[in-house]
Amino acid sequence: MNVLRFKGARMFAGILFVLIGAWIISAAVGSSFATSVINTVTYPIRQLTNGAAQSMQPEKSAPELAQENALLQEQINSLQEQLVNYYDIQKENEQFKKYYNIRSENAEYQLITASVIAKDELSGSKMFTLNKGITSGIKVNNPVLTEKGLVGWVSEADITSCTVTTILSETTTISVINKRTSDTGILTSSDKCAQSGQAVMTMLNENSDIAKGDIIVTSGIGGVFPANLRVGVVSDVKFDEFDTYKYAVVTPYEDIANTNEAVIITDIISQ
Amino acid sequence: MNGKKYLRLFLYIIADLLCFSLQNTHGMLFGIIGMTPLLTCALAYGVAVYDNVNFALITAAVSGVLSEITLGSVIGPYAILLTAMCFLINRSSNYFDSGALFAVITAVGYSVLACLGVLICFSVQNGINISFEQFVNHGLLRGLYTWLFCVIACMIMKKQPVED
Repeated sequence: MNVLRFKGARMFAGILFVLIGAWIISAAVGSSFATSVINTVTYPIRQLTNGAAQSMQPEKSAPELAQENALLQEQINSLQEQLVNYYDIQKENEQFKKYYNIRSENAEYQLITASVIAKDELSGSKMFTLNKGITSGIKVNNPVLTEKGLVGWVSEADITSCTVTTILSETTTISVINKRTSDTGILTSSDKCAQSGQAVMTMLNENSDIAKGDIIVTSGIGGVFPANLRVGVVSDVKFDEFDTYKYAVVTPYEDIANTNEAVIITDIISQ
Repeated sequence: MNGKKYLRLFLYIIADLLCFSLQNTHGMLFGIIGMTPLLTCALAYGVAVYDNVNFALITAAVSGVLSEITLGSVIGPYAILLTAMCFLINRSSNYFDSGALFAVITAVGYSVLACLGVLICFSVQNGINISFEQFVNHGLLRGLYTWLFCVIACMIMKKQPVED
């Protein structure tokens, strides 16, 4: 039985042969030529159909557009609020990290975190205001520090805020000690030093061999400030204008002029 | 073949190109769950049912090649499948007096197989597996939608005299 005697069988065989050849060629060199030919041939038709499809798209009316605009504006407002909240949370997270570090290093102290809400422009970096007060357990003379070191003490306490006098103020008098030589002194400041962000260690023993680079910490003498709170590093050793006594210029660890958050020691948990 | 037949064949190919443009224009055809029918396959089916075997084979081959170009796959396998199916349909349709009835009965299987063939070619070309959801959407649903157009094609076309 000759299969090719069936009607159309020869045409079918011929087309099959052509398609198998096209398959082999296409597999070998790709079908980009055929694609480009078909696209060129159908280009005018596709222009017509694309135009027809676009004309069939319903246009939005003015009220629909206004409604869509209002909805999008609402979404923008909501996203902006979320962004503000995100930044707040991010800042709070960083604050908590710093607080955690301070807490770890000062486990024996009761600490309260606070943010700077006001700085006295006239006094420069000598005073600033924190957002915690008596209701948070803040008392006058409570030490104020950051994760880098001591920045000052609470000089006034209101119900919801407190004023901090920094170690750059000439009214500050903190008993400090040189970690290397164990020389004690009084930390204070002057107008000139405060302008350059530095404090002064006075009342040094005349035989003291305090030197540049020495680390200064609180001594704990007097009972107001706990001992071993980092203060700063000696940047210079000088004599007064009459050459009568020696003093050390101390650069605080913390950049007090740019402090935005701080921690207040309100109590000592354990001795 | 006389001039009229050549003209008819030429018009079939033009119609094929038009169907190819229509089915590839976004937003032109109403989609069901995003599925649009294969108009080229429906046209090939209509020609296979109502016209002679030579025209059926040529139209089916052109439809298959156009579908493969749309997929970006190698040219050949799908066109061979479509040509073979249209050959069988053409040979079978002579035993039925009513082309529309024949279309209603056989076009379902043809359409589903044609759409599954497109899906398989696409999957092989891109090296991806066919999920059940794709099988249902692109195979069955699209096949049924294409079947509808096969029936319409049969209703539009006129039975041509059988050639010796």
